[in-house]
Amino acid sequence: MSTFRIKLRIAWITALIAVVFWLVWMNVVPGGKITYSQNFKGHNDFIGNLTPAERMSDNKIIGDPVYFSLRVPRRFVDVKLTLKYKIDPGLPIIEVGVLKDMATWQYELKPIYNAHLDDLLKHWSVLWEGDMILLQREKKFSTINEFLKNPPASGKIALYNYDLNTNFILPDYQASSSTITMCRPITGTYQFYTYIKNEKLSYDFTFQDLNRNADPDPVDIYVYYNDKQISAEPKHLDDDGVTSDTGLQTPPRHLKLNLVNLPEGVYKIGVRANNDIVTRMIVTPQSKMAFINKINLAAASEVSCGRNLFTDSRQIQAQTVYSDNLQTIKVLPLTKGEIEGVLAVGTEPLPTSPSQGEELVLTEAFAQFSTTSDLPKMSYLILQNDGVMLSGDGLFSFSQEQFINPKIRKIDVNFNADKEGIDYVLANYVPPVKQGDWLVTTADFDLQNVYKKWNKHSFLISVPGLKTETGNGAGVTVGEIKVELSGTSIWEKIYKTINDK
Amino acid sequence: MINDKLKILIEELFYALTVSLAIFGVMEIIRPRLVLAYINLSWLLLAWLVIGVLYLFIDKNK
Repeated sequence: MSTFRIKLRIAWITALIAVVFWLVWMNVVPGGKITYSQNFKGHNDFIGNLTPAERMSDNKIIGDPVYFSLRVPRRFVDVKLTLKYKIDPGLPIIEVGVLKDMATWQYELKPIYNAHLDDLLKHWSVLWEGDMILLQREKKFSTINEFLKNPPASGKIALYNYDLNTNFILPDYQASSSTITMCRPITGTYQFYTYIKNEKLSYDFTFQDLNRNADPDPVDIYVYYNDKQISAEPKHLDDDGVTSDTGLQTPPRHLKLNLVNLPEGVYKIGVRANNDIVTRMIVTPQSKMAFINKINLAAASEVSCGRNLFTDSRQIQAQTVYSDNLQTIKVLPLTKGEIEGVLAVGTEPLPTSPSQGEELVLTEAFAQFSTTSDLPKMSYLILQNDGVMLSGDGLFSFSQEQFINPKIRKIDVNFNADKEGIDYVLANYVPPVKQGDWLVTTADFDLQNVYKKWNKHSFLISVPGLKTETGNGAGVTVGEIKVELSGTSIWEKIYKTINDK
Repeated sequence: MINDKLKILIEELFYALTVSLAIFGVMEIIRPRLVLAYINLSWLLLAWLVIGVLYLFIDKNK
């Protein structure tokens, strides 16, 4: 063999070993830290494209929300996500989220941009403590701790990316001696608030499995008090035994919740199930039941129970997947007098003139329709048909008496401090940094208890109020998405393994 | 002399690409996206094909 050949062979074998070693190194990430970035000029195998394509115009988000995936070569503990963007005027909020739970489609959202807060930061008195901000219309508190120890009336406070645990008490509440039956069928997952005082928390759910999709359909019920889950294990109902998509409907099954010796207050009950599960009935002695942010009314024309709803949402979205259930939803504003009238008489309010309120016309299946104006404090929704999913930034209940909202006002797209009489804002927020024409914000996420499939995490960028249909070209141009992943280094892992032995 | 060196170069390049493709293929089977995340194997395959044709041509003229 010639010397030239030997030299060549040594060279390519060395180069190949180096490449293989580098590939393995990049995949194992021995140091536990790695950074990927997507600037939309070329393909990135780790950070996926922003989808769906119809909500994007090149790298400009023109519809809300958009999603992207993050493929991780191995397990990481947390991620620092940096977004470089430009935002058009009139869009007050950008948030980024990671998918925590697939069944409930629950994203953990973190702030990226908030024009309401940025505006208040310029005009109100500001107190900073780390990432925490207390904004005061007129300075009354000198520290955030002082504010938390002695908070003002909840109606004067608005929150953003912060949970203020105030013990919400209804002074005139009395436990009911009778039971309430909610017989309007509901599809899939939902959450609602209820209230107890010197009584047991008792719910009897009746579920039916429609078996339209070929997968198991278990049901889990979680109970929360002050945002903490009461028992470690949820109430569980197994699949009905039919995991095929035959559409075979087995007889309805019951799942009972009975919790005693609980303190007075608001409780959140979360029912986690997929869309094959229909809650046929809920029987409870609790008089309060307000559904949080969304309610998916099942298509059940045979059921005669009332489907009209009360809501305090400032904006409502409606969608149906059934072409037979296209309809016009009347959204009637309730004035203070009307609300009191309903409470006193217990009848449903009726519009006094045809021009009163707003109409939400569902003309197409699978499309989402939204109210166009800022709704009043309380609205009454008259539905012509069922099989519709309603969502909003507030709560929904089937009667005024059942309505309860223990939550302090959160800053959202419709926020207006002056109009709503808000004097204090408590937020966990870092304003964006300017880099030339771009704005840059970083958000941290814990990756340990989030959803992952095929080594991919799912992320969302939300720009509330941004609709593709309006077509005015406004949006958010994304310049770069950078993710800095960190986890256990291989040396830490080895050290831990040796120590454990 | 130059011709001989060129022949050796093409030959070795062909071996190098063949072994690389085989190793990368096995690595992809063991751990999907391990190689493809960083290297576009289509270009490597194309290069292998071109060098392979050249190699055949040289081999025929020996």
